[in-house]
Amino acid sequence: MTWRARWRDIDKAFLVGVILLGLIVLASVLVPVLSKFDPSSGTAKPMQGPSSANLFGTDNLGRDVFVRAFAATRLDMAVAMAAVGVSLVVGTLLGAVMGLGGRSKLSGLLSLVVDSINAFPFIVLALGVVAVVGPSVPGVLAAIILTGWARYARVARARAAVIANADFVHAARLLGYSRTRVMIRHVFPNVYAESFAFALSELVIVILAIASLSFLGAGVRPPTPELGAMISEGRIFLAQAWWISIFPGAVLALAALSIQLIADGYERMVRYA
Amino acid sequence: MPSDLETAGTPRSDHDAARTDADGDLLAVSGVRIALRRRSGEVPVVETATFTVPANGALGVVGESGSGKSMLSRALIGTLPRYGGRVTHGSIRWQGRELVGLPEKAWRTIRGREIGYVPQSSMAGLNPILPIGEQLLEAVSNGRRRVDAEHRARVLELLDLVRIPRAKQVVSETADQLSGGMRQRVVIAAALAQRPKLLILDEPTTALDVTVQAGILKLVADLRRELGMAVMLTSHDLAVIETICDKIMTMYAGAVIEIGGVGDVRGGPLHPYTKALMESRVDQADPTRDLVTIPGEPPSTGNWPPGCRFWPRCPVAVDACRVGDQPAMRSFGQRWSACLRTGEWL
Amino acid sequence: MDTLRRHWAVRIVVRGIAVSFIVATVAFSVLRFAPGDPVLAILGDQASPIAAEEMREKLGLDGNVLTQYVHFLGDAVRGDLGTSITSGTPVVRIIGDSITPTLSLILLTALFALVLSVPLGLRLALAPDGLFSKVFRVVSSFSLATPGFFLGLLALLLFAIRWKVAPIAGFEPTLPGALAYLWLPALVICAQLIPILARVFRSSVLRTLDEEFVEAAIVRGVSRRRFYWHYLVRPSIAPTIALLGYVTGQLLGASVMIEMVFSMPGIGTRLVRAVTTRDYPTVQGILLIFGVLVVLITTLSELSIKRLDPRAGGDR
Repeated sequence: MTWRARWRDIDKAFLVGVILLGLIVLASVLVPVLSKFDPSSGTAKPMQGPSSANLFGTDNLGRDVFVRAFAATRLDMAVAMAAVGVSLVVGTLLGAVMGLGGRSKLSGLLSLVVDSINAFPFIVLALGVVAVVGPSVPGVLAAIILTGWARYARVARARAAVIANADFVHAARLLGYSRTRVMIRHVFPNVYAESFAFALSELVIVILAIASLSFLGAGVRPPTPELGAMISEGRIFLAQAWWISIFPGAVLALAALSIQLIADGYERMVRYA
Repeated sequence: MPSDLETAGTPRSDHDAARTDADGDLLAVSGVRIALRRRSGEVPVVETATFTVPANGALGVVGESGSGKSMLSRALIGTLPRYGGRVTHGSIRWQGRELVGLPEKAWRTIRGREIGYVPQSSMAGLNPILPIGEQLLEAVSNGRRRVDAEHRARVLELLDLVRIPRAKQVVSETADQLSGGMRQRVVIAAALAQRPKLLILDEPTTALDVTVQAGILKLVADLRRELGMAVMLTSHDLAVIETICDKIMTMYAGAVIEIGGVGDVRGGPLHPYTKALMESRVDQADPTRDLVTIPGEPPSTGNWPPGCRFWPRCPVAVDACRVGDQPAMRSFGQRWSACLRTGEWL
Repeated sequence: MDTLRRHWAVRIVVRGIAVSFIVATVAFSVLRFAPGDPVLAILGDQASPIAAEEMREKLGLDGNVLTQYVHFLGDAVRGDLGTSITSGTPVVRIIGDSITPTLSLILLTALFALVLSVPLGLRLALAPDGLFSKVFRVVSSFSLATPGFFLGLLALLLFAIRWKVAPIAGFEPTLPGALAYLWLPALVICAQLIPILARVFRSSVLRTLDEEFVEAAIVRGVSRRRFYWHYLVRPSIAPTIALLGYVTGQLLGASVMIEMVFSMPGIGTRLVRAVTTRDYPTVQGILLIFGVLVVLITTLSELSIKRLDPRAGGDR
């Protein structure tokens, strides 16, 4: 394939998303290391507006908002990846089992659990879990995994039900392969391919959910730098020092936008490939 | 109704020919070309359609899907723009008035009032959420604001006209409560509301069961006689056209290729495509012999071959058929054919 | 009786009641099956066994899970959701006191969303490739990627602090006064809701435009107003309302965030306070109410879809 043809095949929105996300990830790794400011201790004058020394200004405790914002992005991304990874694997596995189980008692019960978890607004149920586990990084992880796996299960259930009836699966069964072998060799790879596209768009929702929980005070607690918590801390100074809230918010929105572009572009490319 | 299926099914060409000759032409179409706007530019779908429909006449347009017959019908009611289409050449004269290039406002006084239209499939021809009565009232009042008792009486009269029993209940029902045949009757009733001089039916029976089809065809034939209106009907089924029409017009790949009286065409078609259509009819096939089929596929829109569009599938094509433009229609007495060899191979 | 049982409305309502019980079960399960022990979380690790046992009883966490479940359901049906351990008020009272702002916000948001996305979707469908559609696509992808609470904060900064056209915080439960507090939060939620709804409505209008009955109406000379309403909007609106019903349920989640941003004394604010103070009975009660509200909203939207478009199924 020539360069030119390959260039035409790549979705432009996807490309913009990849570049944007690459820049954000790069910044979140490099900025905390290279900057002379420390993300969790105040060394500058408090409540200073954006300047060449402090690009995003300083907060009420004299901490550099620029460093804090990117240290926070690193944390949010890591937590989101972990949460999405676990939900994807567990949810898809259970969903595939449900889809293949047909009318068995176990899959009926699982389906009921999945549908009732999905009936709740995501953030509300996550708040309930945080109430028990406690507001912390593990608390946020537990909240998002416990409520998130059910959405992957729903997607995988539908997909597996279709595949289970596909001709090649019947053929494999007729050839005498065991049920387990057919599932591992034929059904799971197909279901995971679909779930991966779904997981990309879920990543956006999960990053926003982590920030939302922390914004509410039910997630990562200060002084740990976290985008939602930073926005929340700056809220009371909105009238005097807008930059404390607005810059972390903008970074969060850009991160979400870049992943959204990647997810949409990926889906388009898969669909029209 | 006194006439039964048997008589409705027989061609009455001589009887009708006597009536139409006396009147002038209601509709005169000449040299019409229709093109649809596509990404790649304008794609022609109909080229050089020339024909007339006399008052009280009944013209049947036969052709496969994609032959352009539906777009031709839409040109006559001015809804081509909905499909990104327009008439690029030629003229359509309705009672002496030019319809090509007519502004939308002027169309409102013609379509639905002077020209009635029954859309392709009866299932989708009715709004699924409005009661039947309301849709008929729209047709009766035709854009006028005021609806009065007279209009309501006319709705019941129309339902009676299309032989729908228990009209009083039907008006408050929605389309999903009616059978396919009943729906088609309602659609026909709506088209008749303004007492049109010409009724255009686009594939009126395609979606219906065979038994229901017969009932609808008989209804159209009866209505035509009772109301003294002209009919233009498109179908891919020659049997449907023979039931109702006195003239047949064959279309192939956007071109009109044969026009003639029903009896004449039945007796011996002039164009090899029409001949092939007659021979491949299932309803009159000889059970002891294999069904005749036309070899090959009709060309897709915009991919018409040079020369006569039928030559790749034609059993009698010669070199002259494969070059130049689509051959023009030539007259043979009262009949027309676009086949270069019509004179020879007959 | 038999015809009554077969009536679509009855079936929709019966299913709603059944789902409510499932939702109650989820609210019940969160406290029991999430990792961690609520009792130790309240009293700390060094709590005496006697104090722990007392707290367990107070929270309804004593005895085996099945007995707890039966008690919980029995009490809930009788309207008893326990008492708050921080204030001692019955949870039902807490909910009753704080539900008005939340419900008014949801209602106004749904109303705004429907009223704005129908004409918007219609406009998009009638010129799918126009400049308007392109601008819409860009704007909507930005507003969808922006977190709702951040959008709320921006709105607060601009409208309340800079331009002073909206109050900064609070709520007023009487009607004309409430609107002053509600319009901005409702519009903020709409900014994320309308792009989705308008797109769905646009594609169903496009599908309707291809229908033959639309052509039949044009031939019939149906008046412009009648044509838009009965031939384009009504036949196309069912998927949009179904989605609105679903999204409005999820909107309860968004309203939690927005209530916090705009400091509204709603049920979302109460939930967050209960979570941060570990007031388990209140958390459990509010979770239950949220679940029941979602079911109620879904059921209502199904009923209204059936009224607007008899083709729509309500009895899958």
